[in-house]
Amino acid sequence: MYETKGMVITMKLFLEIFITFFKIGCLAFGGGYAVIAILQKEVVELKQWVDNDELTDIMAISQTLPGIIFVNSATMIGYRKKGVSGALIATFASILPTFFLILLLTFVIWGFTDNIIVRKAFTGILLGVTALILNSVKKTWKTAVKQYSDIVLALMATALLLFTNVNVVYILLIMAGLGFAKNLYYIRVEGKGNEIH
Amino acid sequence: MKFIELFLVFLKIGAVSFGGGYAMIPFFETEMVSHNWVSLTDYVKVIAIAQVVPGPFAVDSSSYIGFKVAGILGALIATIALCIPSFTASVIITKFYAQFKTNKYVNALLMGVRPAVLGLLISAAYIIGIKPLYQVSNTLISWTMLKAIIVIGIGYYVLNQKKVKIGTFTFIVATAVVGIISF
Repeated sequence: MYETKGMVITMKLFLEIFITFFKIGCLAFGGGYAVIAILQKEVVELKQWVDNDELTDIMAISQTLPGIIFVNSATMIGYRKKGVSGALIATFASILPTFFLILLLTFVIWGFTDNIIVRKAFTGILLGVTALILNSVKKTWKTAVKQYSDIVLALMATALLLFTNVNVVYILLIMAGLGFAKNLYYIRVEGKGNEIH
Repeated sequence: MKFIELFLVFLKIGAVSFGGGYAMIPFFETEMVSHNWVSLTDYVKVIAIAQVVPGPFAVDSSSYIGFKVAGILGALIATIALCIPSFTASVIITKFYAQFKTNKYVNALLMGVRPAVLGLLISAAYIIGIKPLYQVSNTLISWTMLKAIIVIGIGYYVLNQKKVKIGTFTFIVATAVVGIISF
């Protein structure tokens, strides 16, 4: 008797997690800061699954882990609410809308992409996206550059990516290794070195 | 086997793409071009379309590339593979968060990778903004390229001015109009 009741409650919670993250997935336009605002409204204010401080922590970690930031945060919130199965449902529900919408929309629009007007519009959009990317260069710069050596590392990575044929995975691993070694060195000498801030 | 190849490639991208978001573009570009899966011309179309689709654009990329290679099952496999590393890392880190937060070696690694993420973003800007135009005209010095750089500059200025707050959606629609008028 009690077991069935417990199961009904669990199923209800799973459904709630699914619906909430499906909704977030449908609303998550614009990425980054826009998504934080949506999570704040849905998960902090409406559902109260995590508080504001926890969400700030979650977003900070999400950005440092590899992979999709949005998936990282969905996984962490789902996990806090209902363990691994909660995390699985949250992740699955949050990417479901994107998964189907892009295939559907691509299917519908593809025939028009050779049209001259659409092509010009796409060129404009891609230049807009480039401006958005430069904007995140600016934002990332603030958190990534703590010492002058960080600028050197960033420029080295850029040069390797743009001017050599070395696979991007190796470039990332090499640069991450260098950054790690550099930070270890500063931990060891305990000096602040040539710190900018 | 196509499915295994898709799975392994996207698993790899998911595991190493620190920084997320636009910083993932160089990974997708390298893999799809070297495997001959999707051309850059087609991929940038998908990125343009992805601007009006909600959710992470990495999922737009994985489902489109996966679909192109092996249909709907390919889309599913690519997307799941892409999410597995994020998912696993997120679960582990939530479990051991207290230890991770104060561990100086973890912090040294997470901070150490950030300059590389900057490099990835700058190269993403090149792949999306300049490279497609370069592939058409085969020169970096042209009237079109100058116009493109001006549009990017104005876009960047608009995003960073403080007077009017502009949503991403409005911004994208405006850039489409600018594209139709000026190209």
